[in-house]
Amino acid sequence: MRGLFRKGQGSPLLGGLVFLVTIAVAGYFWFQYSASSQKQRILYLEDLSTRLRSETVPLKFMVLSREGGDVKARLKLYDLAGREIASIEKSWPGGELYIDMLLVPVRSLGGSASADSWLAFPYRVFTDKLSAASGTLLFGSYDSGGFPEVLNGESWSAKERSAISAAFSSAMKSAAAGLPATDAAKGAFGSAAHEVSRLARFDLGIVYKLVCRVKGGVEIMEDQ
Amino acid sequence: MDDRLGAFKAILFGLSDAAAFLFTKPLGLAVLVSVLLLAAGARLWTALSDRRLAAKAAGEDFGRGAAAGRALRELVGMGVRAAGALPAIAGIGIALVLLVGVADATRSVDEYIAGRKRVAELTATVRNLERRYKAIEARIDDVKDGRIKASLAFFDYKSPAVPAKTQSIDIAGKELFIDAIVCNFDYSEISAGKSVNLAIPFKVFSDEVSESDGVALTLMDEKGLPLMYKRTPDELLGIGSEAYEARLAELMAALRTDEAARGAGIVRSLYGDAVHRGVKKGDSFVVWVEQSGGLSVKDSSSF
Repeated sequence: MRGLFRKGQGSPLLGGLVFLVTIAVAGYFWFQYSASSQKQRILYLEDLSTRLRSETVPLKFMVLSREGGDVKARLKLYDLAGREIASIEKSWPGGELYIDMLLVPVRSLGGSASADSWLAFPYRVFTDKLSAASGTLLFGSYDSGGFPEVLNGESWSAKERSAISAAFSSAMKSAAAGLPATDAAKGAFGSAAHEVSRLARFDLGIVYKLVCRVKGGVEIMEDQ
Repeated sequence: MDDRLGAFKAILFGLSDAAAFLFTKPLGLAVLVSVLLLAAGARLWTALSDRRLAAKAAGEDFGRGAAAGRALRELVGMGVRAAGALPAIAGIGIALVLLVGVADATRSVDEYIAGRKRVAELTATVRNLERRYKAIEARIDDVKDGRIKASLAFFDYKSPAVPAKTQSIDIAGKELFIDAIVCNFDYSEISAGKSVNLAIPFKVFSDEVSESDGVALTLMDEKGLPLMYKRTPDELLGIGSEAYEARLAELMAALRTDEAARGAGIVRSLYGDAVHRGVKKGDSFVVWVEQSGGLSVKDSSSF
């Protein structure tokens, strides 16, 4: 074997062939590795793209009537599996319905520090004429022994359940005392989605859904 | 060049697929064996017919035994010729394996190139969806005697460093609400980078002051165009200020009519969103327009 590579001896053709085969084998494995990495990258990006578009719908509502300066609506609350957990029907003084959500960063509940994900809790309902402090609180409608039923349907760990319950209880206590529920967790904020009568009103008898995005945004869309 | 390469690839892939089918699939193998058996049968039949005709011409008897002997000799002859052709058959085999290998390698390279394009597209999609832009920065100057004093700075997505306008607020309450019209465009528009979701703040109110009694934000000009999205001519690249304002006016008109916006097929959702927080003196937070949809609020110090 040593003779093959000794200067002045051995076949240059054989040496060249060995070199070419080595390059080809190395190239093959490099290509396979690159193709495999590329497939994993595509899967990751597809998953991330889907996650950014993903949504939860904790609440749907329908405006039933607008009479005598009041707006009457029916609200239904749902857990993460889409199971209906509560229904509320009520009139509020005013023309534009505001549906307030409390958004709590997962990070503040002991989740991954880099995660930019939010949990959504239906907070209260008020209108353009009725101040938020005088609105209808929704926390009690889905309180299940201290755990928010709207977050059922997901396999939370005991630690996560405990952190969620603590944040929820704190929000309930603050709201009951007339303090902002956004103080329940660091970084939490409220998002009151509503109709704007000069743009577009909620049509009577149409079901609308409150869509919560993973990055904290809340949208109102027609439920189709 | 691309056409020639495409035609070459079509021939290469066609030959490769045919070879792979004939030598690796049960049906292909059955077809191949059937063709060989037919050829051998035709060869035997021809040989026996020729021999029978020759025997008849010579007035000789060509019985079953003679026919069987002739057929056997012919089969042995075929076997010997096949053995003689083994190097050529092996050569054809190697050529076919190389052909299939080259075709597979070409396909893999094509897939890899297509994968690179897909990665680039997905990366752009994710980047566009992950993007957010600063719409409002709120600084709480004082919270005393049940009143909030705050300074608000409004930005548009093209100028995140310099506010388009600032406004001071003094309102009763302990929770500050900043109300905005939010227009979320269709995901296809956002992910392709053709549009950005818009937020046009129009009112500030509090937990104690209802929206109708809130403080209106003076962010529109006399034509009803939002100041945040207005630009001076030198800021407009490739579009004149009149054309830009006309485009903005069209958009605002679309925003004013839900049906028009939805009819245009570009708006996913259009609604009002009052984001809020309990505040204390010294607090500072930013309202972001999320390109995945909606508004979010984060402490200024988080960034």
